[in-house]
Amino acid sequence: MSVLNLAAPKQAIDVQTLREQVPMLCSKQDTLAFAYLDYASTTPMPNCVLQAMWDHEVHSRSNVHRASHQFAERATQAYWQARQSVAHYLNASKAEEVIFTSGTTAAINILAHGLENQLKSGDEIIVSHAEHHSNLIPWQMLMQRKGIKLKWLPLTTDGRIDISQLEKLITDRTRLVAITHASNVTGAITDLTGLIEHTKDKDILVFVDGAQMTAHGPIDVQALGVDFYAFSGHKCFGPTGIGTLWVREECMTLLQPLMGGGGMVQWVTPEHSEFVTGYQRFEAGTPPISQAIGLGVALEWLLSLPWTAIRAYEKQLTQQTLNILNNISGLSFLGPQDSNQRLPLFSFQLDNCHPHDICHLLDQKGLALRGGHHCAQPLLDYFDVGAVCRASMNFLTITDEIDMLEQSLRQTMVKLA
Amino acid sequence: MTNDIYHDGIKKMARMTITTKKLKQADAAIRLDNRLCGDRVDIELCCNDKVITALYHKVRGCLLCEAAANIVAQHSVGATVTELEGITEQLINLLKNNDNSNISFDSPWQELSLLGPVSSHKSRHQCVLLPFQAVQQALAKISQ
Repeated sequence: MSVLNLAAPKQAIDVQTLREQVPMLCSKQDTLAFAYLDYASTTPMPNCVLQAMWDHEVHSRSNVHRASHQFAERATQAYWQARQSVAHYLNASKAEEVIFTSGTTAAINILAHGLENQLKSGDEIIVSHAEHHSNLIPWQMLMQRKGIKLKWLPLTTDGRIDISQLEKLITDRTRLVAITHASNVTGAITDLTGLIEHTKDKDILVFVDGAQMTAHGPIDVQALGVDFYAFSGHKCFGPTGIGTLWVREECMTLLQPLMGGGGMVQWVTPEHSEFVTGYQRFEAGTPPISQAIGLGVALEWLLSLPWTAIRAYEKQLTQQTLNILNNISGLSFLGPQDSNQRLPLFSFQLDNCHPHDICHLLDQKGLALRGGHHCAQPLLDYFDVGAVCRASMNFLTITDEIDMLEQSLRQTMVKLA
Repeated sequence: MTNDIYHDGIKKMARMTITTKKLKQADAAIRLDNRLCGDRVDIELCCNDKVITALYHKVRGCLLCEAAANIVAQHSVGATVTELEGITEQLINLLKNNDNSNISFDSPWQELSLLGPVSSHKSRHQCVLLPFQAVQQALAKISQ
């Protein structure tokens, strides 16, 4: 029974009731029992998101910012509301700080291109060994174009980004720290408070990849003190094809647009174009409207949940999983043992069993996990690991599913022996 | 025929120790990765008059990739380029065709039929094909 009741009634969550709002978790699958443990890759969408996107497509499908008819008015209004919902979720000071993108990858590419004119050959960007390829390759491309230098924050033995080493890496050429909020492989949560301590009095921008963190509760970009924050809709109960680059208002003018086209210009002559200022400068062309609306509703849905209780529940799930993984002989996992330092996301290996084989057999038992390098090859190389299985959970996970994981892992080890 | 891709025959083939020595002067060396799962195959080849005379292989992969690589390692030396092209083509057909009961492999490649159950798992085809693709790419490099 996955119900956590804390003292105050408002802080109780009924996981089963929440799951009933998410059709994929209630749908009949090929197997009688199934456990979706791949939330770090993509989350399912609740009914309210599906309904909002359906409503838009049926009743208001139209372009935004272009016409004055009733359909366009409704679409434009809903699109703006979505931007406000994102701002609300991130505690941004205003909705105009939110740029819609197609996802985190697009957001980081927009940022890397956007900052290009601010950087000179020899300038330095600090990344970590825990980065997803999406927060690495755009900077490598920038390195090739501009001759900037990438410097690497090391990891602790338990897979956390070692912020204590940051000071040693910072020089007068350091322009940006681009770092994940939580690793998609180790699950380790980055000590952003500690990071900002090192950068706050220096002329160094801070970008945070929030792809993994955003589904685990509202973010406060103002309290974090960062300059840029990105995340994807499909990892926080919204649709695919939509994401966000949040840009602190003062930093918006630092960026040059990546794409040119309709919607981002003030004036166009045969010889010249004058771009608008602000977020619209970065949203050329018709945007993913229903996806943005879906994202906005997903975030409002998340905001309506009791986060104190959910965080406690997720910690309970994390601890339960840690206990299980620590008790399976021949299993090793990456990431911290302390449930306070990590998300409920576990990458592991079993002796003499390849992750691809394990995930295949687990799927036959109804468990959806992902195996591979998880778009984090530098991280796996850092720990001299070729590939890992990953089980990722959130507040929709029930404890029975974790028990099912344990049982199935033990059976898989026997099968592959 | 079993539908279980982890049947005893395939597990036995994957667990076999087929030792090949690293070549001092390979005519071609290829490293291929399966970008989905991280499988990695290294192949080195020597070839004389379109016949493979020496092969070195190293695999860091799943059970299916290991099994396929062991078959490659066991039977490639002495095979002609044409023979290997034909076998690779047959293997691709085996994987594409869910009803693979009519596909048989000439000696000494009969063990490839062990991989038949993989045909119904499209996401795993690349695991099996990776060692063969590495050999094909090495041969292509030699012929350039």
